[in-house]
This record gives sequence, C-alpha cells and structure tokens, in this order.
Amino acid sequence: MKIFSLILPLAIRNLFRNKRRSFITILAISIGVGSAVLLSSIARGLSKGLAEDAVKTLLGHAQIHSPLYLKDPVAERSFEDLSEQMRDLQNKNIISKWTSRVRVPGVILSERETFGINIVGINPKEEHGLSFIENAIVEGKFFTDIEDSGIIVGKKLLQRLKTQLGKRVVLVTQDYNNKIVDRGFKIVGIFDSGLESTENSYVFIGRKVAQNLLSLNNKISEISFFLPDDYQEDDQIATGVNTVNSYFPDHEVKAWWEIEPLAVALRQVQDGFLIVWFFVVIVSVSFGVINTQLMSVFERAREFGVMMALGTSPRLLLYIVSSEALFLLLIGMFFGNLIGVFGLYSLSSGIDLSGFAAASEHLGFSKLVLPRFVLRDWILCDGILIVLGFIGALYPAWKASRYEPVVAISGREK
Amino acid sequence: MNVVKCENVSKVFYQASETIYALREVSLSIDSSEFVCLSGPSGSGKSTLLNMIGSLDKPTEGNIWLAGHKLNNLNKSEISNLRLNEIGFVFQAYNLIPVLSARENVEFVMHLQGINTLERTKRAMNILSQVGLAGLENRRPAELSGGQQQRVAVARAIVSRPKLVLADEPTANLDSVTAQSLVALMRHMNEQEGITFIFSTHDPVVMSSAKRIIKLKDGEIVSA
Repeated sequence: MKIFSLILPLAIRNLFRNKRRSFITILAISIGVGSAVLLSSIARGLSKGLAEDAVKTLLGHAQIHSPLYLKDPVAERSFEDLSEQMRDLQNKNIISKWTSRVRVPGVILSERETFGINIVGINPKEEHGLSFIENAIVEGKFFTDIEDSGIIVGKKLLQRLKTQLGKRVVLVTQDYNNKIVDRGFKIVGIFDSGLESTENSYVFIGRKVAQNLLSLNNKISEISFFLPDDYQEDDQIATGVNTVNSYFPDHEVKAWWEIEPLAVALRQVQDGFLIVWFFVVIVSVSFGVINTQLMSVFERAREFGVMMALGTSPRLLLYIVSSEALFLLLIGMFFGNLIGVFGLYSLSSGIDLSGFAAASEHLGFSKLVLPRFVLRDWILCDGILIVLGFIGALYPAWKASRYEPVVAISGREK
Repeated sequence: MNVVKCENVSKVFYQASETIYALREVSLSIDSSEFVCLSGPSGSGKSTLLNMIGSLDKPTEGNIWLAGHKLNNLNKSEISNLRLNEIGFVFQAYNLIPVLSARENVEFVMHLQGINTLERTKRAMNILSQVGLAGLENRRPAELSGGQQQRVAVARAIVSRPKLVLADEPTANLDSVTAQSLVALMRHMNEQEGITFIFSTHDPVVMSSAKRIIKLKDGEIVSA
C-alpha cells in the first residue's frame, strides 16, 4: 500500500522540513479551533443557563393549563385542582414534584405609580425546590401558607412603584365572573431574581387569597411540574411531557419551550451564530493552510519535477501534497481541541458576569455562566475544519500535479 | 534492436517575435547496450534532445520511439508508466529527494513500481554497495558530498533495471577525479547490466570514455 509506506512518511517528513512554517500554521489552526470550540461551549453554557433560569423561574419542565389559557390567561380559564391525579403521577415516578398556582394579569398601584403585572397565587410549601421565589427573598419574609395576606414584589418593581417594604399596594384584576375586583396588600417580602423582566412582571400572593379574590373556589390556573432527574435533555423532557399529556386529555400539557418561545428563538439564533462563527474561523484558518501549502509547492517545484521524471503519476503527487495538508489540519485540530479542553477545565467554576450585571439582567442571562461541553458542536467544528481545509488544500496539490517536469526541473515553474 | 529512434525531431521556442530552433530535424537511432555521449557546446540542444527522448518534453515536429513506444501517441499516465519502467534519469544537480535517505531515494522508484519492502531493501543495499556507498545508506542527501549524491542518483537510475538511462551533464558539478570515477561506474553498469546509457557532456575527458559520440551544434547533428 503506497498510502502507508510512501505517501504518509513523505508527508510527515515534509512537514518537519520547514519546522517554523509548519509550527506557525499548526498554531494558527489550533488557536482558531480552540477559540471556536471554547466559545461554542460558553455559548452553550449561556443557553443552558437561560433554559435553567426559565425552568426555575416559574415554568418547571412543563405546565398543565386549561385549553386556550395560554392565549388568554384570565381567571375565567381556570380549572379544578388536579392534586389527586398529580400525586398519583408522583407515586408512579412519572413526575418528581409539582405545584398548583393561580395566575392572572392585573394592575398594581402604589401611592405614586401604576403598572401592569402578573398576579401569581402560590402555595409556599410546594414552591420549595420548584421555583426561584423562596430563595430570592432579599428583604422581608416568604409566605408561611396559602392564606398569607401579604404580597411579595420584585426589587425593580418596588423601585418603579416608589414604595417600600411594609407599605401597602393595591391589586386590580378581573375575577372568574369577569367582574373587576381589587384588594389592598401589605408588602411583606422583596425578591431579587437577577432578571429584570421577572422582577418587573410578577407579584406573589397566597394561593387561597388569590382564589378568594378571583372567586375561584378551588380552581387554579396552572400546574407546574418537574420530571424525574433522568429527564434533563430536551428530547427526554419531550418524552416525559407526552406521557403526562396522555393522563390529561382535557387539558393542555406543554413543555417549557412551548410556553416560552423567546428562549427557544434565542437558542436557535445561537445555533445559527455558532455555525457562522465556525465557518468564519475555519475559512480564515483554511486560507492559512492554502498559503502554506502553496509556498511549499512553489519551493519544491524542482523536486516535484524530478519525482514526475522518475515516474510519479500526477495523481500520486496530488495525494502526497494533499496528505501533507491533511496532517497539518489533523495536528492543528488535535491541539485546538486540547486548547478547548484546557479552556473548559480552567473555566469549570464558571465565568462571573456580575461585572456586566445590568446587561445580563436585561438580556435574561445568569450572572454565572458555566461553559458546557456539547460533543456535537465540537464534531461539527472539527468536521468543518477538515472538509473546508482539505478542499482548500486541494488547490496547491492540484497545482503541483499539473507541473510539466521539464519546466519544473529547470526551475522555471511559477 | 533500437532502444531510441528519433525521426526528423524539431523543437521550436518562441520568444516575442523571435523563433528559436533548439533542435532542427534530428534523426538518430540508438541500439540496446550502447554507451552514447551527446556532446556539443552550450545551447547546442543536448539537454533538449535528452528531454525529448526521456519524454519530459514534447517535440514541435517529428516522431520519437522509445523501447518500441511512439511517444507522440501516449497520454500522461502512459508516459508516467513508461518513465517509471523503462527510463532512469541522472541530473546535473543530483536532484535527490532531500527528506529521504540514500537508501530511500534508491528505493523510491521501486516503491512506485510496487516492489515489496524486502526486495526493495535488498536491491537498494546491493546497488549502493556496487556504487561504493556501503555504510552511507541512512544518510540524507545534505549529509553526502556532491560525488556521493551523484552516485546515489546513478544507483536510483539503474536499480529498477531500466532499458535506458539518460544523464544530463552528470559530471558537470564534480571534480575531475570524481567525474572520471562516476563515468567509470556508468560504463561498468552498461557492460555488466547491458543498460543503454545516453549522457551529455562537453568535458573531453568524460567524452573519451564513450563508445559512440553524437556531436550537436545549433540544434543539428554534425556527426554521429
């Protein structure tokens, strides 16, 4: 086999012929690949953080609603509590935890300001480990039961309302019978979610208090639930959601990404951005390889002429030169991935974005980003490198194979 | 039997509006086992004629037969095969492959021919020993003197037992002692192996070792 006994040894030795040039080219490929895969991991970490934040904010892995609630989330679309069925699913290990909530749009008024918000009636005992709210209280207290008469508001909303802990605010909304209702609440807690939109959008009251205010009796607006721990990836969650869905044919069971399409759109944009980024980096790197190989081919024109005179076919010459490029790419790819692995390892405790707190809060990103290794991205990046780099490197190889021996040996080849 | 036959071969180069005849209607025949010297001053067409015979270049007019093959009728791949199996080349500037050792350079052609490793190594070691390079097999060209490199080139040219070896001024870069020794080696291979040699030179000492001298001047044969 000429490949192993002739082409590969020649290709490897030719790479070591101009060590500095090969080193610089390999370094360029390594840095390109390393930065691409590391950035992809950081982007995936941001994306994962976004998803986790979305899930932990209030969504859970999925939610159960009355049909049409998501299009028009009013008290009228409430449904009878499904606690018994949910406990049954929990016992069967189909879900791990769940909570029932009342959630309607409304208006909050302070002495000075008025804003539109979402009123969320919660059971404080069930929210533990299911949403962010219990751990986000920075001032005041969390509710003790569903009949707690206070209200918990976000830090940002508190500032906008120009009020403070202990003061009273009024909630205005429509009840189950479409009548306007209102009630005064004392601010008993302030939460800091780290996300401006969440702090501005939600106020929390006791679930029973909400049901009374909205004349719902025991009706609720939504059930948020988590699947067992082995359901983490999107496709696994989708499977779990389908299973739950089969138990509630009269309700809508939707995964978190169906309820929060903006997060999904952001992830799709990110996917597209990553591929574009890979292409930009890899095309730049490929030009480096093409340049190196062209220089190498021009310098060795006489040698190629001699090899052809000795009987080397143009095709074999093409193989020899293109395999040199392939080696450059493979070595660069190896070290690039190594840079990526070291980068991931050194950032394994996370990237602290608290210096950009305002921006991250506004964009909905966590303040701590944990880079996430996604094998598919790395394979994609490596694949693009090898394919584009190799296609690019075929040009110098083709050029070498087209040399006229007599011209090449005389040193007149250009 | 003719190893080489040229019939009215001309090679014309065009430079701007000028037409230069490198070869003008050259006809010759060279038989098997001949040891032929192409002589003549610089620009007489020696190298051009060797390149034509070796199928490295194409004539503008005329026909060339090599080992029974009419070169004009062959495609690139057939020409590569012909060069690989029928012709050995020795160049003025040695032109060894710098990343290969002396043995690997000699093995290169056999490699292309698909000869197995054991046979390749055996033949390469044997031929290197015959050209006086025993013990230097693993040295790279840069670690050999000019004379040693040219011996490796001769070994590479004859190791695959071609019908014809073409040597373009093989002694031009060598001192007179080394040059004579190289020509003696080529003559020995010619007599021992029956390989046809055609070499070009304008060194009278080297010329004197040839069995037949073809003199060229201004692209024409003046005596054969």
